[in-house]
Amino acid sequence: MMKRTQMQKLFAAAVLAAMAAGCKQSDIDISNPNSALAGGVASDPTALQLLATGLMVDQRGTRQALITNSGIIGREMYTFTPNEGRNTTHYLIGISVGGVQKLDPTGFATGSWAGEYGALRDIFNFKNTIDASSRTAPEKSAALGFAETLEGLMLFQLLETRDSLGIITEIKADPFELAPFVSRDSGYKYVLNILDDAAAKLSAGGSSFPFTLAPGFGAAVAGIAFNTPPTFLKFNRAIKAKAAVHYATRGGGAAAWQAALTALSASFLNDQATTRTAFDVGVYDTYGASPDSPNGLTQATNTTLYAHMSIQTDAELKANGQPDDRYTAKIRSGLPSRQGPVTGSGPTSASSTLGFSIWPSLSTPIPIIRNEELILLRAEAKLGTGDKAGAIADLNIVRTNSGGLPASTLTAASSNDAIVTGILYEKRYSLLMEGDRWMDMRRYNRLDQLPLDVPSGANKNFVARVLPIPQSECLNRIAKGGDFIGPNGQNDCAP
Amino acid sequence: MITTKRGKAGTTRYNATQRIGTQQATRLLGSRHFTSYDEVKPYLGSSAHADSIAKANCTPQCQWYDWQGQLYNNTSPSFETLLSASGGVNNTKYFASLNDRQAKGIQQNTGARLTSGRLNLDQTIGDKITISGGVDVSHNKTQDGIGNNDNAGISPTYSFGYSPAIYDLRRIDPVTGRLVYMWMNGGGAGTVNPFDLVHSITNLEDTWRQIANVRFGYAALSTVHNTVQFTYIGGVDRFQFEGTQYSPNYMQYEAADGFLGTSQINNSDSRNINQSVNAVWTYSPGFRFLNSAQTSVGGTYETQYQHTYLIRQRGLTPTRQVATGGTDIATNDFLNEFRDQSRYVNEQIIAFDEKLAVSAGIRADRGSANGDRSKFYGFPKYSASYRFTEPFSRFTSKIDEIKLRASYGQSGNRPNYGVRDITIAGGGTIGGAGSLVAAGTVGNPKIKPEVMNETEIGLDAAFLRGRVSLEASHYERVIKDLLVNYPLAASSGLGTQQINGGQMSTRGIEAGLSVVPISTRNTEWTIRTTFQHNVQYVDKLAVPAFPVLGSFGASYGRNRIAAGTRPTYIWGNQRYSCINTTDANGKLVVGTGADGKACHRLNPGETVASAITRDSIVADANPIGQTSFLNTLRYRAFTLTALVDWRIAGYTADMTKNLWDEGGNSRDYDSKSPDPSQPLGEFRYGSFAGGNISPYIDLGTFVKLREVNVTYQAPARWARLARANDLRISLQGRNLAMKTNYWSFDPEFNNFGNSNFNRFIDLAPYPSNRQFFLSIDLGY
Repeated sequence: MMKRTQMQKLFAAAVLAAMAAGCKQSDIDISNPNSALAGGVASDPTALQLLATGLMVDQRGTRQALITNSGIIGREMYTFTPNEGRNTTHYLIGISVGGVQKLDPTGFATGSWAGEYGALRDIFNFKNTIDASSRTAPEKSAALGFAETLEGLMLFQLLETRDSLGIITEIKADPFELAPFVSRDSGYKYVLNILDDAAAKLSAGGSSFPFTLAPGFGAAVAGIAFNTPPTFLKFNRAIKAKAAVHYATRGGGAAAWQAALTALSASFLNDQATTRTAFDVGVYDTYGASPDSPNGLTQATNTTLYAHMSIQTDAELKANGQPDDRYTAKIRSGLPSRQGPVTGSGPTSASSTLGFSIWPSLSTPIPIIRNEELILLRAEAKLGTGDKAGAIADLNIVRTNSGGLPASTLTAASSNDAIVTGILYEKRYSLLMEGDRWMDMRRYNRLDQLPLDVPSGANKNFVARVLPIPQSECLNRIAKGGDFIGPNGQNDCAP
Repeated sequence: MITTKRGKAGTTRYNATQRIGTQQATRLLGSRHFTSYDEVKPYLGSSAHADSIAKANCTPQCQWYDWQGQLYNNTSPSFETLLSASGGVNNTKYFASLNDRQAKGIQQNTGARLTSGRLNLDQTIGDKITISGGVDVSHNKTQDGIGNNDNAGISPTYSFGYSPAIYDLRRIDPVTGRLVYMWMNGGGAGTVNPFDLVHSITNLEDTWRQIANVRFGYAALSTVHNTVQFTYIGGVDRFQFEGTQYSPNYMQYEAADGFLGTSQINNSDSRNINQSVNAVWTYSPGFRFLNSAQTSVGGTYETQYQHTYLIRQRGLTPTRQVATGGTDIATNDFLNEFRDQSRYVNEQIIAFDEKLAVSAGIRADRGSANGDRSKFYGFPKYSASYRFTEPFSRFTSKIDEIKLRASYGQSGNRPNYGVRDITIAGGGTIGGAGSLVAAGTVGNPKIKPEVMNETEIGLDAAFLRGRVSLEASHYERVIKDLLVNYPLAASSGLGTQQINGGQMSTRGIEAGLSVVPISTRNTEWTIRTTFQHNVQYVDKLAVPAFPVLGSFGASYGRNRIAAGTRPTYIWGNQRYSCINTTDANGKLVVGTGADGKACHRLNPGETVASAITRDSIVADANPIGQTSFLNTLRYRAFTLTALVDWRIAGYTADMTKNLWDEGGNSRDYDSKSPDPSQPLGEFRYGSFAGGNISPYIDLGTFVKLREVNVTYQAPARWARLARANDLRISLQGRNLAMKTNYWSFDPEFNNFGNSNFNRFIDLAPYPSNRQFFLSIDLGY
């Protein structure tokens, strides 16, 4: 009997001892010092500046991918990595599906999607933060105008690369909730509306933003200042004009051409430009050495970026027999010859000895949009509204001053097609490697006029029309079907 | 808790072992023997120097140099010395040992040295208290080579794969005074001479590790029928790791990133502490129907801490090796912590003449990684077994014993550190200004452990007075609340979230058979064979199917987590003549292709109009089964053991072969292919570029002779020559031979190391090696 009680007491003591070991729950309440906790950040007074800079970092993060994706398909450049043939084959060959050649949704050529949506998510969060903050009305208005302009720009980039596939325009608060596709037409209308809404907000935004903009908006880099609401508005109008011109050739028609002309007149377009500096006025993405981001295209460090040989053969000559000034300024020759991987039916004719001299160092800025582009957009818009003489005049401003070429032989009697050819030549050399060539040729249904590198075999003369919806996006949406896999009954996710 | 050898009471015994060994590469890839200048020209790149080398060395037939054999030829001897002493006096027992091992790797200029010392003490105080403790200190220094995946053309398997082996890389260039450049494949900054690489770079890892443990035992009660024991165990495992890498300014590839010279230092400090207390009450009433009942109750507290930081600098002052003063700086600092508290109670009953054993218990944990840190998650377990001794003894005396057993248990697997926190990320700087962006990984404050439910039934049997024994088990593991690292749709603007979102199960069998065919005074031969087979399924998934993150994309093959399929399937691009569809009711509708046949998969080289490329299941990376044979033969003083492993099936993505085909250098490039107009290498690569990766998904069946060991127990008089009691000489070989049709080095490689998925990707690994040892063991 005694022993039993003794045993029970011992046991109770044991159980209590076991409980005592590691009893305090607070012992396991450790912190996570590796990341900023969202709750803590929102109350920090510098948060608004950091979030605004975040939007510009996001936008900058999409720029180089857009340039290289459209550059390879638009036959401006190659990425010849000696140990990775897929940097060439995934863009120029793709895969064959039901007899139709297209880009592989699981391959390398699926970019310009996640980056843009990452920016859109941050813009969504930023707008909510502004709405909930205790700033003054003009400050809120200016901040929202800034955010909506970037929103329009990101959605426009998605439309540029996905075109007829349509895009998703909405960001949902719940990350698991999917938003449906909208058609290209609806997408463009949404972009133009939001840029106009942003313009209205900027006009009511007072004389300064409640945060500082990146150096690419400042006069030192941009040529003129874009970092106050009234001056940022000019940047907004420039983006609107470009989107309207693109929309006009994709179903927007006369109304879009007119909207483009109206927007251009409120932008920073300067048709008295004659010098390189004047043509280069515009908003830029700036880069720098660590901890900043480097310009990955610079010839100082990028030994795999090659220019397409056709840029040399197609350059028109000046009066003195030298090639186009823009060719001379942007292209360097004599690089060690490189080519695509050796395959039975691969792009074995894809090879080059040309490189670019556009970005001499890793801190060379890359333009988002420049005066030279605005003048050429106006040429397109004038042609679109029937003003052929005006279009040719604008074309010649760029052709003679920037290219050093003799004035064009086109006249008001020339056909629309011939004038388009003239404008596209100027755009090709003026906006080389600025992410426009592929989209411009597609808009005018001239993809088959691009210089093609695959002369034979199943993949002969393949030029991708759109970048595909990435497979990971489609795997998320397949089960829902309907508008979630494409606009208006279209199936963007079919194999 | 790590515990090791303990001392035994009695006079001190000493033991000394000296081992000497060597190593060599098991298998190398070979390379193409080019027959003419025209054949080698596409792979030279465009430099005039490469062209002149090719012209000089390819008249008429190209010379061939065994670059791999020359690089992986380090057979320098390895040494190991082991000294130990164990003994006991009165109430103290001790064990001490010292170990020093140094070995070279097969790649030139690589090697490792491990020095460690250990001391274990056991002390009995009075008749109730026992204390034991141990300390183990080790220093491991490795000089690593370079291998595996890279995109800069530095890894030797890459440089060799893309460069025709037509000139001697070990010569000194008279102009530079250093080893010749790699001129092939374009030369320049995109490649390197691997011989120069391994002798010029530094890649060192240095680890100091200290492990200590202490155990207090108190026998509170010790009577005929009852014993009560209290125990406290504490253990510490610490290490300090320092890794240094340095690549000098003059290396051929350094110009590629615009910064000459790269230096990196990586430091990691880790400290794991584990403590537990428990009480065990054993009640042994001595009844026939109840032999003993043991109750244990206890708790543990575990902490893990690891702090890692690194500095990398590029653009260095020539010959300055430390990571400072460079023009490009990158740093990283990361802290990883985990704490866990648990309590458990367990009851085990042995009854009926020790024939029946039944146990039940439950463990409850709360940890810092769970979303709810205050909640205890409980994991019960139950088991039972029954032994039939001399069953059917009326009919046969051959069966000694059959034991049937069954068990069920739950265990938890915790989420990763940081998953429960909603964070916001630093977005990078612009013009010197920092930024904040949405975190790519969305935090999940509701995350909780995934729970594995394991059910096992098994049979153990012994026959013929122990000459034959058999164990067989069937197990089923079902993981519920599966922790899934799920990629959100990119259109949400976010990256991944870890959720408890599914159920995965594994079913398998394990069996082992031991037979002693010969057992006499002088000879004994034992064969032991084991077999295992398992299949995994994803039963349920709360989110849409997704490819496992961390792979090289669909063109190299990867696993996909999809409900109703095996997560071990390799998914990749393949060609189909057409695709079947499903009708409105979900029924499969078989289509017809342009060849008039039902939709089917196309083999490489087969063409059908309007064929479709699609990411689909290619093969299963999981083997059908694995079996091993261990033979031990003892004849008088000699003992011979041999271990053979046989893996049946299990496919691998042989991307090393893809690399070498792309570089035009695979050893079988010129062999015949199904297409008479293309050699084999071009055929395989063309199929891959055309959307069919199956030429690179290789069957990984192998038979490996893992180990052979011959030991001789020397006669006493030999031992006495060395003043020892005991002398043993053994000769051992490891990884001796492999029989397989696999193209690359070894079907058991995994590019991503110890990962749960995507374990089948072979991309430019380091060759495996075979080792030989001669050891002399002296006992005093």
